[in-house]
Amino acid sequence: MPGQGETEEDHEQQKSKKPADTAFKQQRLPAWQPIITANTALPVFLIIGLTFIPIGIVLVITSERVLEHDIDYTDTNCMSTTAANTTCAQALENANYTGQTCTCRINFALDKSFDGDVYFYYGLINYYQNHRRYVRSRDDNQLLGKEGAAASECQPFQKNSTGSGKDYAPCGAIANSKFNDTLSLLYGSENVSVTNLGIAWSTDKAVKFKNPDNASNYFSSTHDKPPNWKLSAWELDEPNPENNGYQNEDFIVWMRTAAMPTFRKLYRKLLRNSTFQNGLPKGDYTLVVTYNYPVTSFAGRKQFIISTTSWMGGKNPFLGWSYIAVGIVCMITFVVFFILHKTWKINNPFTYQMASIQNNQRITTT
Amino acid sequence: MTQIDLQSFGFIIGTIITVVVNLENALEIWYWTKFYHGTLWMTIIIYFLFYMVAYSTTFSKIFRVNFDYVGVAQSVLFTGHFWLVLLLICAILLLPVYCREFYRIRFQPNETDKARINQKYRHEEKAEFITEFRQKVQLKKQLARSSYAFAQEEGWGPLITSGRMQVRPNPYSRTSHDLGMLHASPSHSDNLRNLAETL
Repeated sequence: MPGQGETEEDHEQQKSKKPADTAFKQQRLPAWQPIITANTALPVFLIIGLTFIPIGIVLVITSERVLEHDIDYTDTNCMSTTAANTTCAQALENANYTGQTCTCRINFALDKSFDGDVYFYYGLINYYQNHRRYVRSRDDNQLLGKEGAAASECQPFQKNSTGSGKDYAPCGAIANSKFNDTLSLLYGSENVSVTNLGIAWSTDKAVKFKNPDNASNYFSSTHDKPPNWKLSAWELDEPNPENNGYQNEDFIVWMRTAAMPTFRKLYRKLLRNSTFQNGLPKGDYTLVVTYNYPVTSFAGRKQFIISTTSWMGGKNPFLGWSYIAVGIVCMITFVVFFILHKTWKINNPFTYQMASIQNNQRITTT
Repeated sequence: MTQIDLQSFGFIIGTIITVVVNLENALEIWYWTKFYHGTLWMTIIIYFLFYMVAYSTTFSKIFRVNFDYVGVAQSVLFTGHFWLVLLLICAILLLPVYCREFYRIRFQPNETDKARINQKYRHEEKAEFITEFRQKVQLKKQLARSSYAFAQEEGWGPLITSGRMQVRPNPYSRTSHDLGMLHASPSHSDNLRNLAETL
């Protein structure tokens, strides 16, 4: 009897171990089985080749239509108007970088008129805004106008330890190294009308930067300006309180750290009124530079860039040419595989079964 | 000179990696059940949705956090440039894998590949075989009737009594077993030839 009981239990246990007979548990789910045959692969190559080449051509043409003019004003182009025969870079160096200002005027001509919206950028070369420690050196809470001490991440630009002991506002290395050249354009003798609004990300301006309450007191008495700044944050754009302090768009643009050591940032936008209704007309221009930002000590370079845009952004022919190259490689692959497919006879697997049946039939008849 | 910022660049690289890795996995899979379809497409879609929500200003206002990536998804995903770059990089990274697989399956199939191709394409072959076979069986039926009809004529008698016109089951023919139809006579073609000679 105990033997029989055990076998019954075993029998039950054996029964219960079996998984249910559903399609999922017995791995019978309907499945699509992709098999790459010549009939599917060759059209894929052909289609990709045929679509990528026109896309590439469109992109190259779009990029060619974007007009751009750069002026490198780091050293030899920018001769000081006050001191004779010295570049502004040398003038700053001679004064030992104690915050001297140097102005220069650069004459240039635009061969074609820049129609549509025109954007002005400043570009920096060999400037590593993506350095890890530099990128961390900011205090986002302070930039939202919240109370509290400046974060220790901002070291050594956290507080004025040698002087008043007050916190820097804004603190950190990113804020301290803010670009402070002033660049303006003259068309003949007329000022080119530009706007400094609408250049920062709208999300940044809405959510990441906010002035503290009682801002003028905050910036002038309770906090110090960073050591490399000439003006305090509350003097960045006094006529426009929405664009002043932490909410100043130039400041916001600078705080969005660039990814590459060669980068440009939006500086101004053309205001299209009176003479500049259709854009920048062709002709002679003068760039007036207030050169404050020293870059020669680390072999950096500065540029002023005038550019129109397209739906793709600025001038970027590389993407178009890449598309054309990939399209051509695909077409070549298609041709090569097509030729191989037609000429390379292997024991064709489709007739594998038929061959074996024929073999068997022959065997039984003899 | 690029205008891109550090966080957008990182987001672009991360997005491209996610999409390319999922698609490369898709090229390796042999059985696309609905679970796999769901996993694959939902991974990619949820990736995009997640970051659109996480990097939105609403999210940052609700949770009152201020971090570097606010606004990055919006600035990257709504430009045509990013999608074109994504498409190009997917093409550059996936086409070599596709080429290699095609070359292997078409020109150097191993036994597993051949078995899979047979299983997938056998039914077309089967249908052809069935129609061809049906034709032969119908022809044979007609001939069987007519052979009786002509039994009185000279030469037919020995042919019929020799047993070569008999229906014989063929154990080696796989297709006939599957089809469950009348078994083929392996010497049918010989019978036809003999018949043609005697007529």
